[in-house]
Amino acid sequence: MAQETMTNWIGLSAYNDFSQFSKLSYNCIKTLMDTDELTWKLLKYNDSDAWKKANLTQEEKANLIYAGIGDTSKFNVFMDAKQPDVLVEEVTLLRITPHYAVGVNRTVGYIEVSMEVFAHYKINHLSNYTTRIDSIAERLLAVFNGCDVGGLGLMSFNKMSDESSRGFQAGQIPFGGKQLIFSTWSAVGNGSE
Amino acid sequence: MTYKYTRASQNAVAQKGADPKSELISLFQETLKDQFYNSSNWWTIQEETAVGSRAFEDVDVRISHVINAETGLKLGDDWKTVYFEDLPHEISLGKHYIFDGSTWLTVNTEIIKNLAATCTIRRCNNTLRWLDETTGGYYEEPCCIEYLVKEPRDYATQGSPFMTPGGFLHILTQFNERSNLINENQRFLFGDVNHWTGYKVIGTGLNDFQNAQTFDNASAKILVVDMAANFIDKQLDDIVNGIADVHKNVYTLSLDKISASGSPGGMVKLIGAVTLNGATAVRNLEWDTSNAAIATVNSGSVVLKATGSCVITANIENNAVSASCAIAVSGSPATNNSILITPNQNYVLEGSSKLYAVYLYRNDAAQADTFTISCNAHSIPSTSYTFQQTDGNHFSVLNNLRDVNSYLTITATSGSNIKTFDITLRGAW
Repeated sequence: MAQETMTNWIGLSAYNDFSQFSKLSYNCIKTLMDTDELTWKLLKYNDSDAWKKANLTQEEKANLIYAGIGDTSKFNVFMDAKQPDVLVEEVTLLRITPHYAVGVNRTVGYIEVSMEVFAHYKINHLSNYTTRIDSIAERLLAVFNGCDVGGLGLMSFNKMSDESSRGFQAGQIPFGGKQLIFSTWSAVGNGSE
Repeated sequence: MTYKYTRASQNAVAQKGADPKSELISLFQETLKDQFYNSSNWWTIQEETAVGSRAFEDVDVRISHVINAETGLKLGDDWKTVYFEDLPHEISLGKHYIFDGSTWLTVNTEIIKNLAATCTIRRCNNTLRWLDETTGGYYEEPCCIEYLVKEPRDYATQGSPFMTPGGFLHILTQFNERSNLINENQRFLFGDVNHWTGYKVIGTGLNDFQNAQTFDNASAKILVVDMAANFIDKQLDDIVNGIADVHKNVYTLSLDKISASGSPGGMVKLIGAVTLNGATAVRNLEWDTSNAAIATVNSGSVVLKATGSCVITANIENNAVSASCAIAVSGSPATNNSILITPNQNYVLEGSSKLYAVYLYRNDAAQADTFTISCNAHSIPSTSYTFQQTDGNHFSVLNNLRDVNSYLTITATSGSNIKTFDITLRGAW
């Protein structure tokens, strides 16, 4: 049996444990609930005046988020990137999920967080001369670029930080969308709760 | 009995002046009746009194095989033609019949501008079983599943790394208030206890728009359901009784009193609290009394009738989950105390606070009594929540940080009256 030495201990603790990886989705959605209003109105209401409706309560926002029970097509916000149930209504969807984990070295790494927004093309145009998809994407950029969602380093939308950090076209007819890739750097268990 | 033959022309002469069409119909009816019980194929079966009513009554019919009009071949034993003795007998698409251990579904009728009352029925070879998420009710509907599974295969050759079940079912069932609850994406199990196969309603899988009257969208009598092969979840499906997702929707029901008493003429109000997967939910309740001579109940209001004892039982509508309250009726008036905590919400979302009211009710009238209210946090760290008694009848709980392992137990005490109430600190949703 190998004798435990200080050298072994230092060696083990020098490895990034990517803690909080599984909590990133929750933390991001919770942050969005606490700091943004427009996104939630655009998720809930389908009409072109959705942007000028009254703000949602936390409970109303919570009711849009899939909690692991029931038909996923009845919800709008998800912590993963795919869904097994058929969509039969014109809806707006938001998916926030850890996309890639990149180990720069054994101690330092970063996690790419994917934020996808989709809307049925029939409800995409709003009465304020913007589109639903771009309005939500804009809010996501505003809220999360430089945001500390807790547990990991700052969220960043920055190619200097992560080469993949950019927005992409996503979706396919009849659902259009945008995918934004944020990155957040972590090192050696800096995010233990 | 000798077959009775009468020429229409003879009878028409005898009833000079009669409308020939009416006379012909009258003769046809007479002939039909004469032949009916002389035939070898008349039977007494059960007929649904109205589509969807589930009330049945006996009816005498003649039953014959069915010929496929396109092929000229006799269809199998799962199809029958039913003839009724009386020409104006009411028949309808979707109506159920019961005989020979099966329920039969009316899939075709001959009622429009047709003289005889006759219909084609198909044997229901299976049952749709489900626990409805919205109502909490358990439902069963007989259904006819087409014999062949369309496109059955494992999707192993489609470039997918996963071999998944494939195939489609085409199903007919009666369209009624129960089957109208079925939604796209809903799962069902078919088979038996040794082997269930899962199916899920596909996106365009609910055809409930075969109107019986063109402009009446409520007139459809048959629901056509298309399903695609799906998976079995041995933990969340009831794989004994073949009901999908039963254990995903776990209900509890409790009453605010487990016993109550009073004198004849008095009243007791019972309040039911429903939880779905641990969170408070609103569902319709059904109420019943074990002895209506002692006490009756309507929507939780119990009327005491005569001395004695009985049990009032509540259950979630169409669901076996129940709770009961023992009722004692004696000659002298009694005092029933109960404590009501409102809102009846047993969770607080992360980042939110909730203000609760606690009042003592004596014989269902709110009292001014105040309470000492305490909070047992069990294993929840004190930094995760803030509990505060704001006055003698109110307290608030602030959820600073979700806790999925434990819960707060609130105890409200006023003299000898004590009530406990558990509150979970949920996440943001």
